[in-house]
Amino acid sequence: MRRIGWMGLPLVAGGLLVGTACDLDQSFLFPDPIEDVPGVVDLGNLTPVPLSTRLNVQDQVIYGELGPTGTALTGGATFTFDGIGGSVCVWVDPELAYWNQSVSPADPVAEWSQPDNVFDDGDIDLTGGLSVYYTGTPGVEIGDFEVRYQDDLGNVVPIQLVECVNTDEYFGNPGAHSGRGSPEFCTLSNTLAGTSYTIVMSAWSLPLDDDRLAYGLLVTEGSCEDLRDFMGTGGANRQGDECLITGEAIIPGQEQGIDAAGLGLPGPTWLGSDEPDNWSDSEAFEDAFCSFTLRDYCRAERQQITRQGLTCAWENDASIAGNGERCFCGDLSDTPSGGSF
Amino acid sequence: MRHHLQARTRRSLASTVAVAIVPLFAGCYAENLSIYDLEGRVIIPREAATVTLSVERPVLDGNGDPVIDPNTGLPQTTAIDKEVTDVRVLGPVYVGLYSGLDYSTEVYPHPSRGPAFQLDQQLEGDAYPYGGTTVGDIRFACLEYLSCKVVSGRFVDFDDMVDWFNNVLEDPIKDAAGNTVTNGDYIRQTCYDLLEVTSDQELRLTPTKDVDDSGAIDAGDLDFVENADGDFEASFRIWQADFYQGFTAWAWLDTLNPGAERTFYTTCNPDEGYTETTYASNFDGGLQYTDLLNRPYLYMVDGDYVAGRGFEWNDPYDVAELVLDFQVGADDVEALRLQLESE
Repeated sequence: MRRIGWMGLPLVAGGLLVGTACDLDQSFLFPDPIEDVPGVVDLGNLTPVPLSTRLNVQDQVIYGELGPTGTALTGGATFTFDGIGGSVCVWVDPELAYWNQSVSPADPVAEWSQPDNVFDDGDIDLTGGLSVYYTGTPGVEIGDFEVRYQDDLGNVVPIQLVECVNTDEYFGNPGAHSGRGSPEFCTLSNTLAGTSYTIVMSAWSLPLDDDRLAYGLLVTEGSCEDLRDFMGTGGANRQGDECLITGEAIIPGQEQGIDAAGLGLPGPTWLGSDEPDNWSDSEAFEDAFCSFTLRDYCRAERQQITRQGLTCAWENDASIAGNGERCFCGDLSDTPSGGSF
Repeated sequence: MRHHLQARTRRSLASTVAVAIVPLFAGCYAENLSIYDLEGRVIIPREAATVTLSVERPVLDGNGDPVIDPNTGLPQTTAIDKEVTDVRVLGPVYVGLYSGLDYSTEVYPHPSRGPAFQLDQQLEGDAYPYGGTTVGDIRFACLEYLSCKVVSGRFVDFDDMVDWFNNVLEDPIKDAAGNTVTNGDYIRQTCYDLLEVTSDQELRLTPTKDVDDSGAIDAGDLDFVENADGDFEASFRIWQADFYQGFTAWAWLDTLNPGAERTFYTTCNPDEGYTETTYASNFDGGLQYTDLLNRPYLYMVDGDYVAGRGFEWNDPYDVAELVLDFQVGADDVEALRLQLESE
């Protein structure tokens, strides 16, 4: 057997390096796709719902689920609608509700003093504009609205021609996103009648417990301020935005809704009128979030779990792992001390 | 001995080679970055530094005594106009680099704009500047009363600031308790306390360098200095700008709006900036808006001055000259456009 001489060692090392560097597939870092839960989906062409009665609007809420793409690419849902010559509001609420626990030793806020279950929340970022500018492929790949504008000197300026602009509540700056578990919405003012608009619901993060991001979606005539007033969540209490759409914590594995299928929506989707099953108590949890009674809710939840001799399964979906109960409030033993990070 | 000499010779040779190689390599490497410090001048006509103030004066009788109002029991006053020409009238000047100027969309020359979208934001297009700078910044002068009312590089010192408000504008500076501030050191000390600084250099409200080498910090060290024509002139430098041949420098002046309740300048957002939230004192110090170069049209008001002509920058070592000779709301942009076409 020939021995590799000392001059051969660098060749071997170099070969190893080259071989390793070529392996760029990092997909193992991302969760696998889930059967029947699309990573990218196109909901088709939707018709803005008129603000007739509250019940009718609630019946028209589209509930759906998004899953992992299995790759580094961001997933999400898209849909189009035709402009109506006036304003259109797009409102999406990802599951479920999220808050930062108040741990200030000097001035704790009682409402937020209990921890949230941070494993059951997802985040959808909303954007939209004229379909003609959309760069994605519906149902295949999520895109954006970037165009290459040439200025007077002939230089290219990339611009996002976004008409669906989220404004942050604190500073009023456009281009903000509302974050985990929080609803996002935008008004497309003075839409051009008959012209197609594309809306992108980008799945910024999936819930850590099951990688299935359920959401509720409303597309209505008029501005989002009109919708807020109509649904009774307007005014100064922006906390109420969370309850404009409720029941989005859909229990996985249900048959597609009949009304949703009748509307031509791809599965898994449901209309409000299909009354899909959601996790027990999730709507009460949302109500507590909106009515500033979270502390009482979380205490009651913990007492009930303790009384029944059960435990909460935060990090893993209870239905999958079978090792505990679904709890909407977080782990009290995981509470940071006041002033700590 | 011979061996020792050979070693010395080798070391010497190696050093020579090393010394020769280093500059060789240094000279061979050029990044070819088109980044320069661009320099220029801004000239503001004297009339732009002139403001007519309406001030109250006591009504005097024939003996020179104040006339008392029989209904109120207070001395009667009457408003008179007072014309002031002063460098302290000048608000901040915004200098931007643009792809070109447009003389048709506004009633004043305005940088060319990109497409209009985001209609719900009431926006009409972004000018997409290549860069820019300011000559003077709106700065928080540490009293709520002075929020959005003080521009850096306009006051020789803090006493100069007191003089401007108390004696010239006749709009005395008030402290947190509502008492009139008569001493510049009070403002300086308040700044040191509030902002936790220990020097005027850190405050950047007043000049701290003897720019004109006069031997003292004086009016010659301000941003704008009166020139031989009676106009006001300042130099500017846009640090480390990406240079694009043919882009256009353009500038505009946010003029003083004396007597305004919360802000003297439309480019200042009174709800942003330094925030004071102590026991009895809650206010914002004011801050310039963030898109002043992108969308000047949002903040331009009648009375502001803009450069009627841009400076087309073809060589990065050119020194730009921008004359802010067009008054918004008074001058005719169409006449200017025709004039420029005929030149």
